[in-house]
Amino acid sequence: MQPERKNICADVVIVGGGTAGCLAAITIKELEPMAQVVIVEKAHINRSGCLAAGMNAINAYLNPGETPESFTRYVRYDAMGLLREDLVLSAARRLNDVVRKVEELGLPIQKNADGTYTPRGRWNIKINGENLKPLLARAVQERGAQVLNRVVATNYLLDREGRAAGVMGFGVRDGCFYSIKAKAVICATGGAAGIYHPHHPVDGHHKTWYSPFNTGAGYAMGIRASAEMTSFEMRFIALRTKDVICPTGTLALGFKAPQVNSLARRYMTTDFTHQGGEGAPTCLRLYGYLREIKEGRGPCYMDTRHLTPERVRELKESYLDMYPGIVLYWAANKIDPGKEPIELSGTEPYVMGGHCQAGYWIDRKRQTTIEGLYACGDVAGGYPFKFVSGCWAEGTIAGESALEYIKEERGGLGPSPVGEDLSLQLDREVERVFSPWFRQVRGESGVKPWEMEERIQTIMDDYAGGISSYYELSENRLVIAQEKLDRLVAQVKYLVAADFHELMKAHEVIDRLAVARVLVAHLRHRKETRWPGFQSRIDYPERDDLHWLKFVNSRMNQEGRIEIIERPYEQLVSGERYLPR
Amino acid sequence: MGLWIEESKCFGCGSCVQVCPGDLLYLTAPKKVAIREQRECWDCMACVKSCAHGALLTKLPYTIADYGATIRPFLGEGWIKWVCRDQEGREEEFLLPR
Ligand SMILES: Cc1cc2nc3c(=O)[nH]c(=O)nc-3n(C[C@H](O)[C@H](O)[C@H](O)COP(=O)(O)OP(=O)(O)OC[C@H]3O[C@@H](n4cnc5c(N)ncnc54)[C@H](O)[C@@H]3O)c2cc1C
Ligand code: SF4
Ligand code: SF4
Repeated sequence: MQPERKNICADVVIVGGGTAGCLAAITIKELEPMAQVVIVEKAHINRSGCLAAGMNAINAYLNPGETPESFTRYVRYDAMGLLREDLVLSAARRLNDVVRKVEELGLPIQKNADGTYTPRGRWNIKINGENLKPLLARAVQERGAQVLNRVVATNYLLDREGRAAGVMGFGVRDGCFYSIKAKAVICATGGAAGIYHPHHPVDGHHKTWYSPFNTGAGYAMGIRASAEMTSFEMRFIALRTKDVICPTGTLALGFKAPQVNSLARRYMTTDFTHQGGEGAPTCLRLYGYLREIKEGRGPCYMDTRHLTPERVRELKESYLDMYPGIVLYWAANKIDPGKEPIELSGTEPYVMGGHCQAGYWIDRKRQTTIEGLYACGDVAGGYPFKFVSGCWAEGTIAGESALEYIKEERGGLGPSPVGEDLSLQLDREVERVFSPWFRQVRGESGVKPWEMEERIQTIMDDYAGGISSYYELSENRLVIAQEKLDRLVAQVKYLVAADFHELMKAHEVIDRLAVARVLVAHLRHRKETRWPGFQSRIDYPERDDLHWLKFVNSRMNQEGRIEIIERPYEQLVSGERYLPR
Repeated sequence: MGLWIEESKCFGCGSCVQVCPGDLLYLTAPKKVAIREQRECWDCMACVKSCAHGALLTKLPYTIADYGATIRPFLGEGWIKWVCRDQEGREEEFLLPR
């Protein structure tokens, strides 16, 4: 009944072949064609992660006249004054180069008559990105990185000194146990969806905005290895079109549609003027919407009634590159955006470091608090407003840093990444990973992954600020969430999985539980409201710079308890921090 | 969300099974594709685009959309064509670079 074991050695192993992971691999292979690079990917690299359906814009680009400093000022304002300016600045310096690079790989970017990129708002440019992911995947393969598709990473290997020594996981198709030993590890698994009860609980269970297959594995692996995590409490709750949960940036930036309530009042323009009106920070645009709904002036809409039939057609074209479901939805329900406004809704909350800043606490080189372990993309913390291009920029930094580390600290490229015997870790992980399957094979009864998933989601929705309570938070309810989640930890041993697909689901739920526990600890600790809408504490409704202009970090100790660590904020770019930039 | 599978058009080539980011598709014994759980589909349409035989179609959940409309992608070298059809059979076509 023991699974077959497959052992692989590499210089660098990248966990997750998505947006950031692909750029990390491309960077390393271009700098060092002889480097052995292995990507562990739970899906298939051609269409995995957030880019599966495509993209229609690059949301972080320095259009003419902008600088890394002006970008950082804007992101600081959008993030309500708290962020890692060093991380934002270092990535911003690379944004335009990395976009040019991906264009060279074949991405069609829309251009003006003079050859410059067509802007879609201050920091955005328009692309035809339907094929973006297959394009990145091809570039990775052409450069000779080895891709292990359908292998789910489950934990890091660590050496005696506590340095990253590789990754372990299992094959969803072949049922094998994989260990990939390496001199450096880059985590790029994206953020976490499915932590809260979904917006569509019944037949649209996975009709989430964020990829439902990004389940926080990278966070959970880091948490289990006692890596330091930051800012989980800055949850991301997206304001999206109702039912199909389609991004609204296309409507706001590309088609100049304002938010209106059921009385056709432009509440952002009128009530949030001092904070930027329609362009107010992302969390306030959700907060404004929520306030209208709560006070009985909903539903709210993006008002598209000014669009001519030609512009409606352009709008549909733009969505087909990223979210074709909405074009089908309009056809099915006979909706003409030129005649009726598009109804809004909020999603369930996500934990992610690409729009918000939940993730690994990293240094400027993207090294985590574990030596030899790097993080980039949505799994890396401290740097919000990353989007697809910021993930690429961060992927290139992580790739370069990992190579530099190998050369300076690990004796350079080449065989035998780890000298010592790691078999104890491997044996333990085989037992941990396969136990839900062993249990089912032995004919034991237990808990199905979907049952535990719904249990976690219900706890989070009821007690940790889900969609059913306007996402609002309070100490007494968070304490209950924490107790209930802690109790679930002891239930993990009852999970059963009939096959390897279900085993993947079991690990997704184990990982989500780890993420949810850290999230609740962070939500409890921050006793102010910094990001209204994303993190509204009804018991501490004001922003409190005197006590809380700092990062809430955490680390799980050997006993499985989550310890909170506070870290100071450092302002590097001069200027006002809260006024519209 | 969910997926319509037109079994008569499926040749069991497996390309959709290979690409689905959620590992939701599999081949049954007579080499026909099947989905494990309709409600687990993300509606990314990776499978639909991968099927050269037009056997797959995205289906919106009935809780949010009327029955009868369809959308189909057709892929070529450097372009993608979308054909969207409403209940009355009215079609809209879009040709985009890729
Ligand atoms: C629907 C949607 C639309 C968006 N639109 C835009 C846009 O138009 N413009 C823009 O700039 N940004 C957009 N974004 C944001 C942007 O796409 C993301 O921030 C970015 O893609 C994240 O990159 P990533 O590499 O961190 O994660 P991903 O690209 O999601 O990659 C994570 C990878 O890790 C893999 N993985 C996860 N767990 C494991 C595991 N246990 N083992 C192995 N592999 C694993 C996944 O399968 C995936 O391939 C959008 C996001 C979404 C969800
Ligand atoms: S790609 Fe089309 S023909 Fe091939 S298995 Fe899937 S549905 Fe059948
Ligand atoms: S639409 Fe996407 S998630 Fe749904 S079955 Fe097809 S490939 Fe899988």
